[in-house]
Amino acid sequence: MKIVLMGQPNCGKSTIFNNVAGYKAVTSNFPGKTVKYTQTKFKLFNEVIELIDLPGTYSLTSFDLAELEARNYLFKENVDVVINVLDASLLERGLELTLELLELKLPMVLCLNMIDEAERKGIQIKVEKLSKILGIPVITVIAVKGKGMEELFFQAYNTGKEKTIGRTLNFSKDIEEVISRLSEEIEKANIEYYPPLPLRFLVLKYLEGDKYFIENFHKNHQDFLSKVRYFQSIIQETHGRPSDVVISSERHHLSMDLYESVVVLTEPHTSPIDYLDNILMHSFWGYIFLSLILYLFFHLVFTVGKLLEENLLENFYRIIPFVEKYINSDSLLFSIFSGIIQGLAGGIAIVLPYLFPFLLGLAILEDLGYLPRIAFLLDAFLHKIGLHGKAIIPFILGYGCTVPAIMGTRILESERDRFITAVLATMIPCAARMTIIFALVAFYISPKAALAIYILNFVIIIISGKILSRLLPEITPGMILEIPAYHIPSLKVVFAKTWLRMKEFIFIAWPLLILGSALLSLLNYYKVDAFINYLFSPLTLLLGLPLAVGTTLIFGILRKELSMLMLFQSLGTNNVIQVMTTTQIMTFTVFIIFYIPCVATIAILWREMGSKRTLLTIAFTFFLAIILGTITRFIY
Amino acid sequence: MINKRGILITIAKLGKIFNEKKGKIRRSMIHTTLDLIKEGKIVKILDIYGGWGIRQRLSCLGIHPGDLIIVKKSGIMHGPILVNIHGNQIALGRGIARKVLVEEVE
Repeated sequence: MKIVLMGQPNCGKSTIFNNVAGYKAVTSNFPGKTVKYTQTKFKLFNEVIELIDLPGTYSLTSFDLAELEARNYLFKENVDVVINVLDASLLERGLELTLELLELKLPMVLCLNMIDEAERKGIQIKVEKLSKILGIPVITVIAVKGKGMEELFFQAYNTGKEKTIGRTLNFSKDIEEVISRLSEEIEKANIEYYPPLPLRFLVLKYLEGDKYFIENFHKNHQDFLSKVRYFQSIIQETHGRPSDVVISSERHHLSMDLYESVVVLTEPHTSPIDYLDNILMHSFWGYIFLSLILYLFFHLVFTVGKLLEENLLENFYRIIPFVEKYINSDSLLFSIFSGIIQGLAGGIAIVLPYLFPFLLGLAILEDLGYLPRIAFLLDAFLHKIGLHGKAIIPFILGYGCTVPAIMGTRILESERDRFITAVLATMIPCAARMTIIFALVAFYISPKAALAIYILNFVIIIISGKILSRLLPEITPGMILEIPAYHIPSLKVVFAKTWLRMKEFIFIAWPLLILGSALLSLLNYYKVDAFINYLFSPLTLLLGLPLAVGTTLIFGILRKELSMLMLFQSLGTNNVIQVMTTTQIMTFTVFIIFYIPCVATIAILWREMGSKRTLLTIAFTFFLAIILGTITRFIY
Repeated sequence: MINKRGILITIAKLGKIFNEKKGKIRRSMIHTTLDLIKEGKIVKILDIYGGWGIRQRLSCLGIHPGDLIIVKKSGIMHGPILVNIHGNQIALGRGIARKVLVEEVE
């Protein structure tokens, strides 16, 4: 049995999903974090249930790629049951999507999530009455606490077995008349629809002027299209507004009526967290607090990371002299062994100390709901580089990892905005590059130098943004973004999310680091690295770096942290400052931050933007890195 | 760039049409756009002057002609507008807010 979770953004679909699947889908408190579907399987009454978490969609008219993905999944896959998840504290608006989903005539269950939040807001819902009116089961749950999950899936299972289809509510008389007349026309026109959809749903989409249906089915049916336009104009004339506005207002009124008949309003309980916006979104204090929060965040990551790095590194490098006693230090075995130790140590002692506090802090900010506030504060600023506020969300995710950042560009409506945001996101120092900045520059030079790198990076991104938006002149559609209520992060969820993201490093990057280290030892043993370094010598000479750095640059394309760990290894030291000058460390870091994105990023860029744009991005970042690296060499 | 004059003329025209169609509304009432409203005011949406995309998008978020909204924040330096509609907060870029025709309600 196939069950899908469908609902408006930020209503808790992924949280419900994670209750069943374990922490598999990333949840955060901002609309649109789920941009592609995730699935899991579990057993209920000896039957395998496939549960799919779809991206949130405000309505079945889709604007961005994430919403389109949700809609297409619903249309094209054989879905047995739809669980329509609704944020109970926003019942009125959520019901509009419910009414639309009912038109699809699929077995459906309505799930009222965050029922505690609704009660706090003073919204008491008469669940039985709502269920009676819509003709489908209605279940109340609190997904973060795991309350009501069993009941929800039990009901979903039953609904799937019994194929309970809800009722569709009627619009005003004159609209209904147009609907039935247009239905007749569709039947007469005999157009093939794939996938087959209920007639009434199709008619409403035509009246709403949904481009998807018109472009997909009616390129060759001009006469039918003119009929559609005729009916649209009838509505427009009688109501004095475009027909799409009329249909959505009708649906709005239906859901308002429904809301009023099932809700009893009581006195809302306010909590101090409701007043947080008075400061955090204030037109002056908001910016002060933004800087303060970011400063504290990075400061903490560095302090914790440095403390751990120093202690761990010291302990790790005690192993090597110990082993030297037993294995001849000139043998192949020893060089492979020390390579593996280097890789292990690099992961535990250099990367993890910074990665863990960083990801933990990011998770807390995300779950609290601070990200959309940053989008609000920085909207005006982003307009200066030809984007709008929503683009800040992929950027912030980019400080964690570039891959989800590029996926995150799907929440932007225009293709041009997506491209510019993706290119700029590849330049943002992700957690991997952050470890390089912290473990090399801040650790060996000074925290101030690390800050300088962040500022330089920021300035370059602004300039690149300006250039790109000049090259692709188009007015960005402007921001329309929901600012959700703050939620106090649940520790369990925050740690689960941090762990999910750390797993990516531990199981994919770390083995790569160890393998890479061993490989470098081999290259070293057979003196192949000298040849590679020779090939790279024009570049290293230009940047004024030691020749041995050449090989590490290749590894850096695999994973950005690799280049730093390889640096330690190829220079044959764990105290870089003895071998490299501060200028060289700065040049190396600047170059590594900007040059060619890592393999995972290239793959995702290729999928999201196509080959041509990916190659363009690679070339652009490579030349940028050379120019900036050379400048750093002579200036710093 | 968006033609400001063009928009103003259209707003004026729209206002005129509106006044003629619904005689109830007095001419003295000020029709203005959402971006010009001061913080803390309550306004009623009269119309959304914008293409199919913007109209649909706003309607999905619960912003329809006839609704009452509270302007909570009007960002500095041509920043976005924060409105409260049916107890939910939504940020609208200034360009979008400029396309929402409103009147102040006391």
